[in-house]
Amino acid sequence: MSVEKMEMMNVIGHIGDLDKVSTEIIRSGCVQIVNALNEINQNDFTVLMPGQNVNMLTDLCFIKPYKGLSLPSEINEKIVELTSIFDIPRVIRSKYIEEDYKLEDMVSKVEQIYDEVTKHNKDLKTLKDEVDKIKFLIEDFKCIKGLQIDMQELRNMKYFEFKVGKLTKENFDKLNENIENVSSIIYELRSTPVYHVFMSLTPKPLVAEVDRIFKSLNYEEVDIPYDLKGKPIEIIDKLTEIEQEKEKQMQDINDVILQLRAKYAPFIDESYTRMKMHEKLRAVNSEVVCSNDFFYMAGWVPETCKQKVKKKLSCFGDGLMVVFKPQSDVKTSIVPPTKLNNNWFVRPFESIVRMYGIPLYNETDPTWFVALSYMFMFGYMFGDLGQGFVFLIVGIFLSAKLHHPNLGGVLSRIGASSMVFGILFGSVFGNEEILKHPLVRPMDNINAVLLGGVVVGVLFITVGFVFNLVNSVKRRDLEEGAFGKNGLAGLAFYWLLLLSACSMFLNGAMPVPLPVIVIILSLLLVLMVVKQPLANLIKGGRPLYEEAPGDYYIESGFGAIETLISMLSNTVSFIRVGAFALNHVGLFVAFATIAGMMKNNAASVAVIVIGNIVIIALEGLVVFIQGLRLEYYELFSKYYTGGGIEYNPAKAAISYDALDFTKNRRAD
Amino acid sequence: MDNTTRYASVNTKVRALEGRMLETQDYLNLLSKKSVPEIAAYLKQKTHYMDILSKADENQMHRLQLENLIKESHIDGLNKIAYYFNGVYKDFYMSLYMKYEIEDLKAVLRAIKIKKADELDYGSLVHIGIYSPIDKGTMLSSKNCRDFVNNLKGTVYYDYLQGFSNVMDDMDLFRIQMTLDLAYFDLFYRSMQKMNKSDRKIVEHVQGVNVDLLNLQWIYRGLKFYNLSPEELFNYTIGYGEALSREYIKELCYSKDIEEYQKKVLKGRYGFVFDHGRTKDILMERRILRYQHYKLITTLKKNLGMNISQVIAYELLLEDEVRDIVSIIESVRYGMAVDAAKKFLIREL
Repeated sequence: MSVEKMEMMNVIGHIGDLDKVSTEIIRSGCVQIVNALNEINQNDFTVLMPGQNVNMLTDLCFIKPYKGLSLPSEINEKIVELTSIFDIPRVIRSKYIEEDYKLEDMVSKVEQIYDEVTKHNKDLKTLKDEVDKIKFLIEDFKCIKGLQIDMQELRNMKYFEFKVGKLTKENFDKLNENIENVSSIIYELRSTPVYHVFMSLTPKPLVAEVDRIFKSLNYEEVDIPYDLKGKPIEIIDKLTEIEQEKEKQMQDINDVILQLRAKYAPFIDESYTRMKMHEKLRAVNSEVVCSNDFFYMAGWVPETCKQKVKKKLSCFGDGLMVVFKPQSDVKTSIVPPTKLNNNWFVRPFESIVRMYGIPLYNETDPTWFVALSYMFMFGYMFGDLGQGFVFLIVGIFLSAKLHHPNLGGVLSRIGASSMVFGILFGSVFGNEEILKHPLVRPMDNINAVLLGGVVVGVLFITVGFVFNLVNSVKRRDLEEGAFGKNGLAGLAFYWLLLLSACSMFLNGAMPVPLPVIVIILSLLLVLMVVKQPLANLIKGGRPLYEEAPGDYYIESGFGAIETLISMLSNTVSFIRVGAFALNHVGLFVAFATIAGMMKNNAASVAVIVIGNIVIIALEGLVVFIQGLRLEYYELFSKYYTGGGIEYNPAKAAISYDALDFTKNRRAD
Repeated sequence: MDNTTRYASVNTKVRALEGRMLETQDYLNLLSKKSVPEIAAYLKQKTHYMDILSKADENQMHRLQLENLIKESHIDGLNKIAYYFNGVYKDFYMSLYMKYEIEDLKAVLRAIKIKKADELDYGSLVHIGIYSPIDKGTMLSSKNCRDFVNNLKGTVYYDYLQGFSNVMDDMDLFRIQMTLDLAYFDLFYRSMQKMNKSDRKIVEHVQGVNVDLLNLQWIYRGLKFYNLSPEELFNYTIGYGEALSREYIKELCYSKDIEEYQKKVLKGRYGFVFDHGRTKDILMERRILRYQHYKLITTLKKNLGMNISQVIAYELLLEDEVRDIVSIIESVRYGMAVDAAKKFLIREL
């Protein structure tokens, strides 16, 4: 339940082996590659181990970033296009990742398949365009099918020119606005949402003038192809014939493509994974530097994966030099990534932590505390056996069926917590009569429930203080840890204030005289104000102030006042935990009252059901958010920075696929 | 979303941005400069253009380079408001970028026509690809009209230009440019249809006046220079005008000559475009812009309701500022006297 330990791995090998080494590293899926040039520049690359190849280090002085050959970019596009022509899902499959292959062979085969397939595909497209055109034309002729005149005759008229054409709607309207000035007879055939198709009869001497007018409206003539003759009704028949013929041709080509699909689909499917793998390989290699003969690679490996990586790389034998060193030996400027390692129970809550930020490498992972406190608060605010059960089911469904392991996991766990509190509070879908002997009924013990929330808050805040103390010790941060408002001084101040207030209210008297307490509290406040110079004095650090002393005291002076206020407000803030517990009951009481006013039973049942849905959806959401707010604002601000880098190893991410989903499921 | 929520923040932002705009004294100072680098230095030190100019060396600045940076800053200025909108309002707001993109596309077309697309100043076409999902490099690589139209596939313009997709070298530059321009007004009107009624009215008014004035200018030019038939003249006018009816526009198109046309317009509401006979054609456009700048923007700024008027006013003011600065740069570059240069500015100094 913590942040996993990382080790820095440095690899030196012959440049000819680079691609193979990178491939193995991607297959291992647990090395986060860092830029080797950076590391060498920091003088931090591997120290020489006794008995290893000295030659490998001699030309470390002549290094440059590695520039390998890449796949021609059009190959990627071709593979993607082929997958869409063949209608193959784009899935990365684990079995192809583990296999070795020859890149050049794959490229040439893809080229060949692409040429073969696109030839047919192009024909198909041309045919489709033609068919569309013919369909359009048939529609046009259907509008004049009553016309008993041969089209040929119309076109060969001596004194008139006959034309069919189309205009956009806007332009056709313009033509209509000025129709009295256009020396042509216009007869609209039909209109589509975009176009108006019409025929025009223009006296021959005026053709030039009318053409200019049409042209200014972007007129498009509908030409009648295939030299068709006859009356419109005959032309329609002929066009239909041609259309059917073309469609048959299309069908034939489709069959050919289907045959090709049967032949090539497995290979294209394979190539897709290869291509993705190659992209990853390129990404890894771009962080590598090389000299003439050797390459140098660096990356972070979690301690738990060290053996796995070693085993993967062992096949290279002595030709490859692999050195691991613990994080403490690496320069601090190279920040190790954070890999959270939590048990299955609290793992979904990592997403809540992640929303705020990834922990720093040497920061305590707060996930387990977030999980416990969040579940507790949600259950307390939303305690109901039945409604919690709904959350549990929805959560399980989300994580198992819809691949939302985090959201589903969080929902099912807070649902379970809600059920536990439901039993304690005696509430099943809002009904308080089914469970007879609950621990406490919120509405009968309003003060206790509210106070309970605050007590829980005090406990959580104290744990927050402890977290900050631990983190400060890890950071060796005396200033914040000992004298900061969230450090030891703050904790002492908080509890002293709390205890004195309690004894004041409960007993009416103090065990210790009041002035003593006031003096101790003031002393602690002064400590918080002078924390920086004090810490520097103790550690011997100079200068005492990081900024002008005047500025520092103004800031820390106000900081002290803010401490006082925020301690109070943070604590009181937790009263909402109790308030929402009451609110939850109150909302149901409202619905139960409405249900009681209904005349028949069906209506009151309906009201209860609707009420439950509203409560689950609306109040569930509100409580979910309020819980987050308490975690982030009241607690995280005390002890958590979340400025780390997420562990993101080089690997070919395997995508989900409906067909062999189980096989490809990610192991982690 | 109701308009109060929509405009509460955006109007505040508009006010803040308008507060940074250049003032009269700035324009006078700019006019008194002697060279382009001096203008650049002034803009860099004293105005909100310091952001965009900070990455350039003002001492080596050429006219075009400075103009391009100012155009980029114009886009930035528009972007600053775009963040505040979503849904249909975002669609509408983005359509404000369209006219600039069309201007740049037309420049590409002209270059293709004279076979000099590869010599075109790449940096000056800053607007291509801002509104539509197209790539500047691809557009510039078009060898002829057909390439150009095909490269526009997937954009809103393609449907309008489809008729030109078979034209090779002998393209009718005039017609295709006109088609693009008319497409702009169509698309613009379509994009505003889904806004709520009060906003639509405001935009319709602003654009309607603009369309009226453009139509008047077009008919004037058509009669004077292009020698087009009245029918063609009418076909190229823009619909969607505000005060001028289609019948009236038609009547204007059928004017016998320029004198009759002037007489008709002078009687109407937009008579000022002719300035009672002392018209210089080149100043006609300035007069139109000046009318819009003072009359329209003042009306918009007075409208203090929670609606789109402040945003539209900002858009117009920003455009006018950019136009004026570019005019000043040009007049300074070509050594024009200050008083003469003032005439070419939209604002009166």
